[in-house]
Amino acid sequence: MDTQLKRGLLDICVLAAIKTEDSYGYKIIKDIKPYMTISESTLYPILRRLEEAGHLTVQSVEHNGRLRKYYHLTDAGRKKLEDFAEEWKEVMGIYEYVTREGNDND
Amino acid sequence: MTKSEYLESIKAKLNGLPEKDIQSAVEYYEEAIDDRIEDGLTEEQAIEEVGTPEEIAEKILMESSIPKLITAKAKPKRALKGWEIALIIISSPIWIWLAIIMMILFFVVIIVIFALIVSLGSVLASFLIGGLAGIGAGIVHLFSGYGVNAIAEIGVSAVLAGLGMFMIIPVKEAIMGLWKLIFKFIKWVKKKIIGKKKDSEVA
Repeated sequence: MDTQLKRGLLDICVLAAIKTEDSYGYKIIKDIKPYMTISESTLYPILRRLEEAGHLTVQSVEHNGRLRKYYHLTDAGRKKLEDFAEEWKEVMGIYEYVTREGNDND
Repeated sequence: MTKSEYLESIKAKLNGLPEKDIQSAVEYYEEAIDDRIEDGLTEEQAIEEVGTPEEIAEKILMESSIPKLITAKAKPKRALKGWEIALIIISSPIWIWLAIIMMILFFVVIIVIFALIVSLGSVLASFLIGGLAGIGAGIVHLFSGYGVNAIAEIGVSAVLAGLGMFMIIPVKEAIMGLWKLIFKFIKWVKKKIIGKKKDSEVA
């Protein structure tokens, strides 16, 4: 996949992984695995970038006697997901056009 | 490699970055390993799955801003002794000046590219706006009785506007090219600073 596109999609997948409930690094990786493979070394800078952009917030929560960082989707992050869905409706239309069954003579 | 050796190695590779950036990365990767161990992996397997300190550090550095990278690179790699700190206070050390010069050079290139973008846009805008305004003024003058002069004014303005329109697409292409060039330049500078060898997957 085109690297620019992949980069954008990874951001979206990470936001989508915390859409319904707050989540942490390892769980995010496992949750998006069926759709995109992502390593910790790739995820970490994405989380930092999304935090800086205000799309998510971080909160340390105690877990088994240690701290675990939970990521929470902000309104701005939710807006980004909505915008993405809106934009991709158009892309899906194009996809259907591109992959339509050819009924003409071959 | 044990967990603490692993985290120590990441820390060493990020040396020079702001303390809180290093702290945040170490905490993150410690959590990543702990979560995997909790999931049933051994410490060794967990480390293996999380990735090498090299790739971890490289991706963090590529995401860091250029001023941060330059400072990180220029800063002395070991803890300063008491007398050295005293010396820094009375005379700024050379690395501060080197870092400042590198940052100025970097910003100069960025500013030059921006200036090119702005001037290209301005030239185009002056042709279009000047041409259209001239046509408008010419029409007004025509009706105010300036006759031949007004017609000449309309003609010249139409040429201006026409040239402007011819320029729209090439200027747009040039501006987009320059805009991309800024990002390419930033990436190139970062690679130079980090001393990156291979062009691994960027994400």
